[in-house]
Amino acid sequence: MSSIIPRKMSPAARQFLDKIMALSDALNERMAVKALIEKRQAAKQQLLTMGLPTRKDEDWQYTSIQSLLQQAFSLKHVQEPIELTTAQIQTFLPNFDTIRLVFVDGFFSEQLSGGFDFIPDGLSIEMADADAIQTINLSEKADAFQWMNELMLDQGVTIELDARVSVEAPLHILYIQTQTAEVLSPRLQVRLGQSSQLQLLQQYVCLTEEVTTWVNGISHITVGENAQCKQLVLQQLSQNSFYFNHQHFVQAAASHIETSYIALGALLSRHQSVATQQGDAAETDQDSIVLGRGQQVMDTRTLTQHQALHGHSRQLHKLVLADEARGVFNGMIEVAKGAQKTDGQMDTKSLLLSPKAKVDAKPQLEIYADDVKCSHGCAAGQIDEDQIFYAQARGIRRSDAMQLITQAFLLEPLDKWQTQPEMQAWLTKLIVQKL
Amino acid sequence: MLLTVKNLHAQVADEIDKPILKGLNLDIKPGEVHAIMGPNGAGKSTLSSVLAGREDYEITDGTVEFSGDDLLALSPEERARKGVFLAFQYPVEIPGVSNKLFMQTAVNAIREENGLPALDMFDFDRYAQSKIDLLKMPKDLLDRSVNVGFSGGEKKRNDIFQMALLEPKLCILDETDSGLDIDAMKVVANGVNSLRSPDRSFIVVTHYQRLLDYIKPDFVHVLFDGKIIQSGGFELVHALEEKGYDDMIQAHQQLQHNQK
Ligand SMILES: Nc1ncnc2c1ncn2[C@@H]1O[C@H](COP(=O)(O)OP(=O)(O)OP(=O)(O)O)[C@@H](O)[C@H]1O
Ligand SMILES: [Mg+2]
Repeated sequence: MSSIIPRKMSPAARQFLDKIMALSDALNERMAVKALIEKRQAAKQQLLTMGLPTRKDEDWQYTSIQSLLQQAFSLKHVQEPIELTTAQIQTFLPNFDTIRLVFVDGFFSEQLSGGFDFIPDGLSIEMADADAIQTINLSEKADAFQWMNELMLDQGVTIELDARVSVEAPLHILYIQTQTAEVLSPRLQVRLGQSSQLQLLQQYVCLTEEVTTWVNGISHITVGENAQCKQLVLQQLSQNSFYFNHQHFVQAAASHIETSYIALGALLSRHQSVATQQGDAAETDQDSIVLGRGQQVMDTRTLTQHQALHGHSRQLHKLVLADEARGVFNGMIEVAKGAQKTDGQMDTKSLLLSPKAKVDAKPQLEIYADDVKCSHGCAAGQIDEDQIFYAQARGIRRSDAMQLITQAFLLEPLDKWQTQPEMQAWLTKLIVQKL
Repeated sequence: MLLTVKNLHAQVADEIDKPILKGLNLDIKPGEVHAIMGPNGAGKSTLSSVLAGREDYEITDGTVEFSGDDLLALSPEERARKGVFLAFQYPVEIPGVSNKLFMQTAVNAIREENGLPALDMFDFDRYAQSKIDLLKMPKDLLDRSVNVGFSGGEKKRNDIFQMALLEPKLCILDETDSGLDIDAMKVVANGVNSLRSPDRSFIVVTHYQRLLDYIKPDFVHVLFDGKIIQSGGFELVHALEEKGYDDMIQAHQQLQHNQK
């Protein structure tokens, strides 16, 4: 370490890092698991060396973390979990059956969780197991936020699904934040055995709009041969909160993943989804729905790594930005040498509802194989006045016409839930409420 | 009088000194069918758009009265709610919005204006189905996105279907017949004819005699250079079909010259 010169940081960044390092030290005393302490110490060194990203870093060109740096956070300042009733969290819950794991400020709440009857043989769920959380090893390319997750690592969920087991009810993990200025560093590790099937719903909420939180998560999902994983991340944090998430799917042959990200909340959010197709004929579908207003900055990133034959990937990302909201999209499709017959397609469409709203979209292809079919499309624009006039000429009010057209635009990725009408209706309602 | 257009002058909103309508007069009584013909670029679509309230155009002079209201003071949706309907020369596609949702919203907007209760999905379906049968529209029409993936002719028929649903007082058809095959033309003509009533009027903009043969307009006007230069009965259509616009335009220009 000593040979590497630590990166120069702004006073604000330095101060911020010092504070969260102190949180990490306190955690080492409270949760003195040796392996975890070692991990946190290593993360500390890493962060001192790499520093925090600034807009001079290419990957952070459009996303400033200044608003985060101005905050001071605490870690589990409540020693005992806050008691909530099911009635208090009812508004967050879907009206269909799920296997539900609820975490309140990071504490697992047995009382709020439920649907355990839907857990089939062959599905195991382990919580806050120190051994389990520390099995994810960060890659060399991990960014500062992943290291900060490791720095404050204190809990996690590990899910294992045996071969050929299909879980009927979605596995719903709900994180409710009730305390202001708390940081949550969730870790999720999922292993899907051969030909198994799982639907995963990760939901992040604040109990009220007054709560300001920082969620900084990592998920790692390995999908066995011929297995299917349909995952949905629902980010509904309060408008002053911060959300960073890094998820990585590692796919074996003929596996199929579908991952959707719905971003409605947070002042600053950044969702990074990585899919690595290690086996042949894997399928990867990624989509997102981003709705920003006020001063929200909403960053969505995908990295699709085709490393085997006959890989298939599809992406549809929709952003609606009002007021002074900023959207950022970065999508990279990498096709490795030898990943012949790859078929990859990525589309990003943004609708800007105000002249001050802005989007920066950067689709990228990096192709090292010669027999592939890859494309990307990227469009941004205002609402089409001809469409509005057409609706007005039928008696529909201008504001209703805007709503109708915007809604149709934004909800397109929900079409894929047609086989699950209850899910589709629930998601539609959540999004339309925010429009 | 249902519609009274007096000395209407209009231009593109931000292009001063480029007038398009240059003193247009038109009177329409309830129940009348008026055809408007005229060469390309004469201002027919502009007139249609101005009546429907498109904001691209600025009215520099003149008045338009509709059922006693100052039409030009109303927003496009208020005009539609009061019974003005425009079938577009180029109907617009709205991806993701189903015809059903679009038209249920529209029908209920107009019902609201008339003090009628909103139709729920069930009632709307039944109501729409009767019009689908009447116009021989494809059965899956309602489930499809508005005009998306429709052929040119289907789009035009969809506009007529919308007109049938909204039951307006003044129907403006801007070249609804162009691009239609003979069967579709008959469907459109039947649609118009079935909607004809003593208190509903039509402005039919067209380049061709064929649609007018089916519809039999009460009056025919020739629009040229932003003005109506000649009006008459159905016989005017035959004259135009035989001789074209040239003679009429020359006579008009001569007249203007003499006046100066
Ligand atoms: N939005 C606009 N911007 C610029 N010019 C316009 C606009 N609308 C109309 N014009 C011009 O005004 C004139 C009249 O156009 P309009 O579309 O009303 O003609 P029309 O009689 O409907 O012709 P056609 O028979 O070809 O449909 C044309 O010269 C046209 O280019
Ligand atoms: Mg025209």
